[in-house]
Parts: sequence; structure tokens; C-alpha cells
Amino acid sequence: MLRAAIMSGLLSTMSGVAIAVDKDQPAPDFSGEDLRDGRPIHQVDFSGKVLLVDFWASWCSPCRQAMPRYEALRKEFASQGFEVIAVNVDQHPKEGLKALQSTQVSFPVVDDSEGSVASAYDLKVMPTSFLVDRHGVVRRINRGFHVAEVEDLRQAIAALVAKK
Amino acid sequence: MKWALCVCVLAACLVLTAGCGMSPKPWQRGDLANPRMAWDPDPLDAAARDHTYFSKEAASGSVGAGAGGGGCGCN
Repeated sequence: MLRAAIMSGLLSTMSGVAIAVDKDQPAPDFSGEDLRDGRPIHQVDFSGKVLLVDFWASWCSPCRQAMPRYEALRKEFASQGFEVIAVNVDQHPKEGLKALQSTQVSFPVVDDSEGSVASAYDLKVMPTSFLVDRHGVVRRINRGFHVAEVEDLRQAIAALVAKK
Repeated sequence: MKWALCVCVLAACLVLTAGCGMSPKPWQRGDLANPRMAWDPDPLDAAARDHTYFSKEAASGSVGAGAGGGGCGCN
């Protein structure tokens, strides 16, 4: 009984602990519904592509600044096997939807109002985006968004799409 | 019996304090980021209020060193 009590205490204390996703580690798989039309989205459907998994929210100004840049990158590299998956972490999906009306993007936007995908990726800051190679391995983590770093990201994408 | 009580108290403490010290995750700050949650939603209004407060309180010597004004708000 003593052992069970101690174990239950420890487990309840550790319930919030998540394993951080780091560079050169496999990106966690996820699935969800598109925020705009409820269409199912599975990360595995994009296997073999270079992916930018971008976590954003309507209340996060840098996140919204990043979206048009990611849209431009997608247009530039889409033919070479590059895709962006945006993960909206608004607790109230209507707010994310409203933000998408002013910042229209063509890539999938997963509704993660429950925070399960964000939790799996163990975000440290908003925004964060993960550049994942064709084999599903995280190759770059962008914490925060700075316009000056977009060119670095562009070069990283160019290098990854060039690899088969 | 005594040790069982101790174990129960310990377990209860662990369970009750499990949530202590857990701050909201970065993706859970939407409601906190709402302007209505700001300490001073209107910076201009807050500055005017501060000025009035300082002018009134300084007159009685309770703010800053000594009497800082006549209470009229005109520096």
C-alpha cells in the first residue's frame, strides 16, 4: 500500500512532463482536422516531403507575421516536395479562423485547440516551427520569428529538398 | 495504524500539491494575452491616474521624499 501511494503521488506529480523534440530526432506523428473545413489531416500523408510544422495562434503577433513568409516559401518549393503544415493552438478555434480571414494561406491548418500536438512537440515558445526532412527527422527548430532569419530558413529548405 | 495515517497524509499532500508551480504552457496563453487581462489596459488612462495619485499623495508626504506638490496636479 505504501509503495502504491508513493507511486501514485510520483505519477501525479510527473503527469505534466513531456519529452522535448530536439534536432536530429524523429518528429512526432500527429493528425487532426483542418481548421477551415474539418478535412482530416494526417502527418503521415506528407511522408517523403520536406515539412515545416509551424505552431501559431491568433493572439501571437510574430506568428501572424510569419504566415505570409511561409506561404511564399511554400509557393517557391512546393514543386520540389516541400509543404507547410500550420498547427493552430488557439483555445477558441473561432479566433484562429477569424485570423485566417485576414491572413489567407493555401497550406493545411490543423486545429489543435486541445493542445495535444503542441504538447507532443513540447513547445517552449510561441511561435515555433520545425523543419522536418523527407525521412521525418527534425533538422531545424525555429524558436520565435525574426524576418532576418527567413533567408537562413529558405537556404535550409533548399538544401533539404535537394536531397532525395 | 499510525503509519497508515502518515501514508494517507503524505499521499494527499502529493496529490494536492501536484499542480503547484505549473505555469501555463506557451500555447495556453491565449486568454492571458487578451487585452482585457492587461494590468493597465489603457496606458494613457493609467498614466493620468498615476499622476493624480502622485499629486494628491505627495501633498501629504506619503509618496516620495517629503511634500512633492500642492495636491492640484500642476507641477
